[in-house]
Parts: sequence; C-alpha cells; structure tokens
Amino acid sequence: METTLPNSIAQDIARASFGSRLWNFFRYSRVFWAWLFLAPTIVTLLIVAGRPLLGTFILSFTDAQLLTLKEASFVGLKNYIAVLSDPDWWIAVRNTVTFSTASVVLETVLGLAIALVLNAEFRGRALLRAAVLIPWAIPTVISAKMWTWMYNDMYGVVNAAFLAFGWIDSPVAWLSSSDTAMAALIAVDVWKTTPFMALLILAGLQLISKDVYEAARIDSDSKARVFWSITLPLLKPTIVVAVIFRALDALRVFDLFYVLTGNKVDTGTVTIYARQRLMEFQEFGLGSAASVLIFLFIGAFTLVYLWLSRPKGEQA
Amino acid sequence: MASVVLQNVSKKFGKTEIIQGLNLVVESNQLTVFVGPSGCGKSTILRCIAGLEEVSAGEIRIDGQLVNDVPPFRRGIAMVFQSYALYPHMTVYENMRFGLISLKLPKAEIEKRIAHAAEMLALTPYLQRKPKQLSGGQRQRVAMGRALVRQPKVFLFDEPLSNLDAALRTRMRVEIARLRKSLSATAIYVTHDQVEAMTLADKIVVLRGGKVEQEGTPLDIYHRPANRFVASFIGSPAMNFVPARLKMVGPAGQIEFESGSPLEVKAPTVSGQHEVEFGIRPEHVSLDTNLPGKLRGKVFAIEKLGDQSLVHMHLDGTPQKGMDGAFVARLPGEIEVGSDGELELGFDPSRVHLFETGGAVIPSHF
Repeated sequence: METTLPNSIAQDIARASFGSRLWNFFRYSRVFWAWLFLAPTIVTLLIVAGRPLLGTFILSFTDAQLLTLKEASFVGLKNYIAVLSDPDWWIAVRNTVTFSTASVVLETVLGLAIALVLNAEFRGRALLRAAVLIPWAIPTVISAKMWTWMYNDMYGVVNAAFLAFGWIDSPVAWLSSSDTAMAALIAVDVWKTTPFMALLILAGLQLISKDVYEAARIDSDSKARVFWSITLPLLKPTIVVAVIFRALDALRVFDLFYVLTGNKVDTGTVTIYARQRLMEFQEFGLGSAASVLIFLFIGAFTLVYLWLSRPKGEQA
Repeated sequence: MASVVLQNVSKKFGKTEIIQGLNLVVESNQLTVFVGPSGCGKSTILRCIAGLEEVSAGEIRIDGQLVNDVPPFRRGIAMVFQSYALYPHMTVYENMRFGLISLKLPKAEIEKRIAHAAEMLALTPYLQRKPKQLSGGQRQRVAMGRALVRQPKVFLFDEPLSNLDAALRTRMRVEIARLRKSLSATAIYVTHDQVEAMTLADKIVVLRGGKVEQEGTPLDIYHRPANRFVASFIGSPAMNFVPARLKMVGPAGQIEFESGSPLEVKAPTVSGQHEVEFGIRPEHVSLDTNLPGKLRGKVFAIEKLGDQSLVHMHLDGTPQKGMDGAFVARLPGEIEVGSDGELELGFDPSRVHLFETGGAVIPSHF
C-alpha cells in the first residue's frame, strides 16, 4: 500500500527554506546532539591525557634532559635500547610481575571466599559488607604509612605479634631485607584490595538466579560439586573483569612501593624505575621510553588476557 | 510409585503463618493439582515437599518415609520451575546429565535416559545448544527433560507453563497430559490457571490462605463446589451470585429474588426465612424461557466471541451500576438484544447452587 502525506504537510516541506531545513536537521539529529554533549569530555581528555601521552611518546625518541628540554634532539631508538639493556629495568620488570601475579591471585581467592560468606544470609550482613570495605577506602599513601609503622623492626606491631606467637626469635626488618620486602608488600596490597575484589565478585554472585541453586540442590547434594560446576562457571565473566581491573592496577603499582621501600632497586617496580629516571636523574628521554614500554607492556598483557579468557564458542 | 502425605504441616516466615496445620494425601500414580489465588500458599507447600523450605511444624512423608530432615536431593523428587532454572552455562545435554551424575548411574544408563527423554520431548536436535539459544517452549521442555531423566518417585511442577504465551501454553498442556499417560507417575502440579487444573488433574486441591477449601476430581469440584469461594474460583467466567431469600412454603422451600418469579426447591427443612446467595454458572442459563427458572435484566455489554457471546447484564432489582453485581450469561452464537436492552433468561433449577451468607453450600434437591 502506498502512503501519501497529507497535502498541507507536503506543502510545508516544499516551502521550507534551506535555513530552516538545516536547522531542523540539527534539531532532530540524535548524532549531532550526542557529539555535542560528548564534546566537553573529549576536549578535556585530549588536553589532560592525550597531549601528555603524545608528549611522552615524542620525548622518548629524544635525548631531552629536564634543564635542556628545548634543545633536545632526535636520537631514534637509543633510549629504548638503553632501557632494555639496563639490568635494573629487568629487575623492576621481574618485581612488577611477581608482585602482580601473587597479589592478584591471593586477592581473587580471598575475595571469592569473602564474597561467598557475604552472599549468605545472616544477621548484620549489611554492616559487615560495609565494614569489609574499610581497608579499600583508606587512601593508599595513608595505609602504606600505617603499614610502615606496623612493619617497623623496633616498635612495629607485626614483630611484637610474631615474637609473642614464637614464630620468630628476633625482630625482623621486614622492609629492609629484599628477602622479606616483596612478601611484606604483597601482604599490604592483599589487605588493602581484597575488599574491592570481594565486592565485585559479590555483585556477580547476586546475579546468579536463586532458582538455579535450588535446581542444583535437587540435582546434587555435594556443595563442592555445585560450587565447581555451577557457581564458578557462572562467576567467570565477573572474575575475568575483576582480575583485569586488579591486574592493571597492580602492574602500575607505585605509591605502595614508593612509601614503603622508596627507590631501592631490588624491590623497585617499573613505575619506580621510570619515575627515578624522569625525576631524580632528570633523563626525560630515557624515563619517557621506560614509560612507553610500561604502556605497551600493560596494553599487550590486557589483549592477551582478554583473548585467553574469551567465552568459548562465541561467534566472532 | 509413591504417595505424599502431609500431616499437620505449618510454615511460618517470621511471624506470618503461610500454612496452618495442613493435612493432605497425594495419591500415588495420580496427578494432583494445587490451585488457588496468589498467596494461597500453594507454591510454599510444593517447596516444603521438595525440601527447599523447611516446615515449621508437622510431618511430610514421601513413599512412607519421613522426609522432614532429608535434603532435596535425597527425597526422590524432581522439580520443574516456573523460571525453568536451567543451568545457563551448560548445554541441554549437560543440563540433563548434571543430576544423573549425582545419582552415580553408569555412563551407558545416563546416555540412554537422556536420549530417551530427548526423543520423547523432541529435543534431540538441540542437545548441544545452550539455554539462551532456545525458545521459551524449548527451554520449558528441557526443564521437563531434566526432571524426567531422574525417574523420580514424585514430580513437582511449580507453575511450569506460566511464562509461556497462550498458544504455547495450550500445546504444552496437551504435551504434559500425553507424557503423564505414558509415565504413570505421581505428580504434584501447582498452578493458578484453572484450565490447567481442570484438564490435567486426577485430583484438584483448592487452597486459600494456606488451607484446603475442597479436594476432589475436577468435575466434582465444578459441579459440587463445597463453598462460595470454590464456586467462584473454578469456572470462567466465574459463577454468578445473586442475593436471595430461602423460606419454607408448605413442604417445599422457595427462593425469592428480585428479578424473577420465585423458584420452588426441595430444600432441607428450614424455619422462617434465610438470606442466601443464589449461584448459577454463566453457561447454565439459556434463552429458553420455557425452563422453570427465570431471570430478567438489562444488558449493558455483549462480548461476541464468534461461537458464543458473553452477555453482561444487571438483573432487575440489583444495583444498576458498574461491574459489581453484574450478571454474566454465556450463550451460544451471536446474541442481539432489543434497543431497550431487556433480556429474559431461563435456567434449569438443578444447576442452581445455594450458599449461606457465611459461604458454605446449602445442599438442596430441586
């Protein structure tokens, strides 16, 4: 069937001037309005993130120093070669990977356990859910400072407690010795970030329909089997996202190490390495190259991780 | 097969008592339907039998065994949920297999049962699909299949068809009736849909407020409702109720109501005059005014369904406003009324139900 516009409307359209038609196009174009409303964010991001990123990228190919920023000249890949052949860089890489792997694995396992507990119904659940978040809510610098005191070899509560339990014979300088510093740092990160993990996983748990658990209770009386066959697979998408959030944070870790162990090479991470080159040695070219490498490293990790954890059988 | 016996069962949620001292026997090899308005406790009773809820008091026996403290898996039941409750990450095949692995059946037996159930439910082509790749009707069949393969003592159905559209619901209803015949299993079926109740049940239990209002065969409940609630709940459109007076005139009783001539009944002996409710189903009145019973009223709406018409009217002497107190007649064919809207209906007095003002039926012999 053919539809025809009523005559009066057709005439209105024919009579409309170019200007008013243009105005109508903008007025009714959803895309135009979408771009207009997004514009402030895009402009801001370009200024505060895009411009510095580009600057770092350009600097990484120069021999720039803090005092001679203007006279820097292009040196090609020299900075990259220098960083990649620096043993300190590789120590930093190893430290970062060790720290990230250990802390994310521990946080995921503990977070899952806590989430399962918080998902059960009991009195005071809401209060406990809020209380669990406290370590995460404290700014990292403050909790790092707090832990520095707790780890103190003379007055620290950690040594006092371990001595009281008889686990150690004499006070240990946890953060000074490279044998214990990494474990101590991981412990702080786990303490601080497990709540975040627990909360994300709890949200995922609550998405699983109660009916499915009830069906499972009729189908099986092994709680372990229900956990492995039902809960865990259904939580997988949540855990994938939670782990990526945490891993990105852990790979970029800075404040914790900076406050607790300072610039020490044997416990430094890649971000500590980059900051040191940039700020202390004032080698802007070298520091920028290290920063770009960190960026590429994290980007590559993210892509590989997402590719590995993609849902099976999903169409491309 | 197994029977289910509930003795003095109560269920409280906090201080709210949903079920109070319920006594009920579900016969083996029968399909028993629990029907009632929402909030009547029918699903709660089912969940107590399944073991998903603990009873607050009383005893539940399945196949003679006290199951109060037996976990759901060990009760020998299978349940079909309204939401289907399929495992979303498992294929149809894995959904059916999950429970069978728990039963520690040999692999060959598991394969055999799944193949058989899939065949019976026309699911064979879909065994490797995930639930989200299936239509509502197919998911429903998977839920049924998951129950079937367990070969339970008792099947529990919790409003299994409520999430389907009308056409599919009718088809699945017939499907369930067909399966039922080939299985001869004990089943409890919860629904608020009285058509499902009437068509599927060997026995219907009408529930209200956690109590049994009446139990019996579908036709028993339709023809001989025990009280006004059952009479109004079973049948669609619902039974008409007209205020009337019952009094003795000589040896017989007489019903007087506003709209028509008095009606003689051989009622049980009553003295003086009683306020009663006169009940008649919409399908039990006709245009044949030669019948002994007569009613007059003014038509305000006619719903023409093609093969039949639902005539809505206000009987003479009843309030003439709105749907309250409106009388519905289900008449064959397409009905027209004159411009004055007046219509006279006849009925067979044997179709009449009389209720006390409290709701209980007055047995009467016309």
